[in-house]
Amino acid sequence: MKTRVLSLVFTLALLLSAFAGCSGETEISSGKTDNPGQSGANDIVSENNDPVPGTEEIYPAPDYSDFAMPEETNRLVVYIGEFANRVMTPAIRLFEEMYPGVEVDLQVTKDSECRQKIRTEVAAGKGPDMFLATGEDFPDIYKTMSTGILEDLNPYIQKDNSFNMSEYNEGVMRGGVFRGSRYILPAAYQFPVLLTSKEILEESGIDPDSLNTYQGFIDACTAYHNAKPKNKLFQDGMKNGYLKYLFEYTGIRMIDYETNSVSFNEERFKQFIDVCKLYYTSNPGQATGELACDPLSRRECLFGTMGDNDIMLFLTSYVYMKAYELTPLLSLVPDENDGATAQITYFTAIPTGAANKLNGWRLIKILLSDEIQYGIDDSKENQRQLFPVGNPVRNESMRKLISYHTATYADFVTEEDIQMISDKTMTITNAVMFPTVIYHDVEENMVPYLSGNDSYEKCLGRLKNELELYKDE
Amino acid sequence: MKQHHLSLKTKDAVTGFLFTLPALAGLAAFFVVPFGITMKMSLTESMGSSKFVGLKNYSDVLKSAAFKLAAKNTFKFFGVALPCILILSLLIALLLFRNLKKYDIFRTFFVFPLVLPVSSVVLFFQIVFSDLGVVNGVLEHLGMHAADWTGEQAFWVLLILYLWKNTGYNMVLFLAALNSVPPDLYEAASLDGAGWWKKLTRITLPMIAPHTRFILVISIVNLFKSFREAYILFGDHPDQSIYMIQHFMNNNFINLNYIRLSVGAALVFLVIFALVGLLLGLRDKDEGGHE
Repeated sequence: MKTRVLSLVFTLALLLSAFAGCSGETEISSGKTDNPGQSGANDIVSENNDPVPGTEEIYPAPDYSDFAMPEETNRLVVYIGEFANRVMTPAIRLFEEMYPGVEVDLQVTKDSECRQKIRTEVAAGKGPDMFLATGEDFPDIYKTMSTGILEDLNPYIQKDNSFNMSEYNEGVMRGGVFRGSRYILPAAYQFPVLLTSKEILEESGIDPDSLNTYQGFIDACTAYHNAKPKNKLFQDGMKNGYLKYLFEYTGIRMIDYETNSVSFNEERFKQFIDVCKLYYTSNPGQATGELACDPLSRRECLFGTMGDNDIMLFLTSYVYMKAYELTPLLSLVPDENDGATAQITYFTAIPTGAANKLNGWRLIKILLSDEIQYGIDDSKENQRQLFPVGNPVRNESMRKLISYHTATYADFVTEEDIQMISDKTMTITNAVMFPTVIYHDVEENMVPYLSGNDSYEKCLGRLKNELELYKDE
Repeated sequence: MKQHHLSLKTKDAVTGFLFTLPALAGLAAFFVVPFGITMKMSLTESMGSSKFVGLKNYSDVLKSAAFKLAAKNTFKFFGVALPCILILSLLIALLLFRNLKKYDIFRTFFVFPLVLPVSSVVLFFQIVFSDLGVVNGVLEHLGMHAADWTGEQAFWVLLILYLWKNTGYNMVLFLAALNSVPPDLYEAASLDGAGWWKKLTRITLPMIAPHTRFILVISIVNLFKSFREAYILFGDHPDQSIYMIQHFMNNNFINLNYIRLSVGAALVFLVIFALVGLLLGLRDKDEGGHE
């Protein structure tokens, strides 16, 4: 009988292990209270317990009064994929210059391998001392934040006077805050910018100023369709593009992660879906891969989007518009709260199980420093990697980027243009790392309505059901 | 000098233990210890804290609509798929057993899905059941409405896939079981005037009952494995009709929420433990009855 019970237990343990995987010991100290060591860092000068900007309005900040900076160690472990290494290499070089006594263990692997390595080891309470990651690495970063595997960086920011949050785009940095704690610091972002021209708007009777509010933007899209029913909204007006770009740009999040509830402005959402429907059914168009300026100059669409291109191709379009004797206008798509929501593309974080947190924090500061944000090696690739989140370098960086990519058309770019573009990118009021799965849910459930095969109410009901399920997982 | 002599029984026990030690060490290192950690994790506050919170995580997961739906769908799939595969594979085995030589080609046909790579099987099913696939083409040709096989009808696609893939294996096991029934029992029954149905219910089924329990356990294990096909066919967030426990656990794994994953795993463990324990208990009772 004993043998039978034992064999049963072992068999089931084996079966269970197949489901559960395994994890290392989680002897992890919370950043809030469990760091008894003294502050050994030279760059930490005094305590400052004021709330960190960007947290006080969203959720009451936890009490960090008994937080002590992690102990000084002589090692720093960093895992990085080949793609992001172009940014990390100069940052590590700077780190080694500043902290010569610290041995840096930089492990560069293929992107997919690095992703797997970080995910596995961080979850096991081990892994690197900091990481630079993307949404692909953590499909729903807000759900990951709720697990407690990432260090709250707010107390680091409070205690470290050499790091000034006010020097960073507050709206973007807000994207790292979850329930009062700041688990990630954005390092790069994509903003919801559209390109059009004064002439195109005038031809359709659209006031350029109306694009500053969500309602105005929706009305403009509708007015353009009424004026030119055969035209597209965006240059790559393929069916899914309307949904994808517009959804990302409008910043409708569907799930309120702070309260873990399905919560969104249903009126705004209906307006967005109805605009999609107008264009989805009338003129889906094809993805041509053209620069935005070409279809705009041919009066085929209302807006040029950045789409999946990088910012530089988009800005090149801005310059070309002048060559086509059009007056280019940049517009940030207003989100449902009439602000502008950016998408975080890269972020930094410290795992709670990291052994050298202080050095991890130092490397994060270097990654967000003017030197790195500006583009330390002055290469095109590096510029594409990191779109600056820091205010002081923003203007200069934009100037450099624009002049690099539009050198041939320098006559068309004025100081005012550069300043205007730079200013636009600074008016971000919020930033998110939007989980792809939510977009897929919206697409899957709303397409029957867009294509006229089902009612809005039924589609919305199904979508809400799926979202309820997702947030409950 | 006093010599210590071990009894033969003790010597055998020590030898046996030493031979099994490597296997036990592997089992402990790769299964038992992780299982223990999983259990411990399911009782702690979060990944960043080892604070004991009792059954709070269990309560949270059991309240979750996602887990409830996953559990409901998993039981539903079990409830439909298990009887289907047992009856189907037994019927085919009986057919082949009676005319084994004549239908030998069918045996190969049914076992064939077992050797196919999962990716090929899934690709085949995608072609057959896509919106513009073979099945919808046939339905439209017959003047019927095309069905959404990846949506509302996904449950049936998964059931067909499970049956198609695993019936052959079960059939081979049933054939082995049928071969173990002494032929003279059938001959004696025939002399007594028993018909086909009587022989089946009075001789075949009781005689293969121990094998059937084993096939049942194997089928349960294979049912859990069918998640792999479901995942490749329909993704990590499929139609709600086939959202199962493994989806719940896999999605928590993706988001590194090992606490909820551990709770899910522990609950599944309890259910399977109870299920297999029940089967073993029935076997013991059965064997006790025969003795």
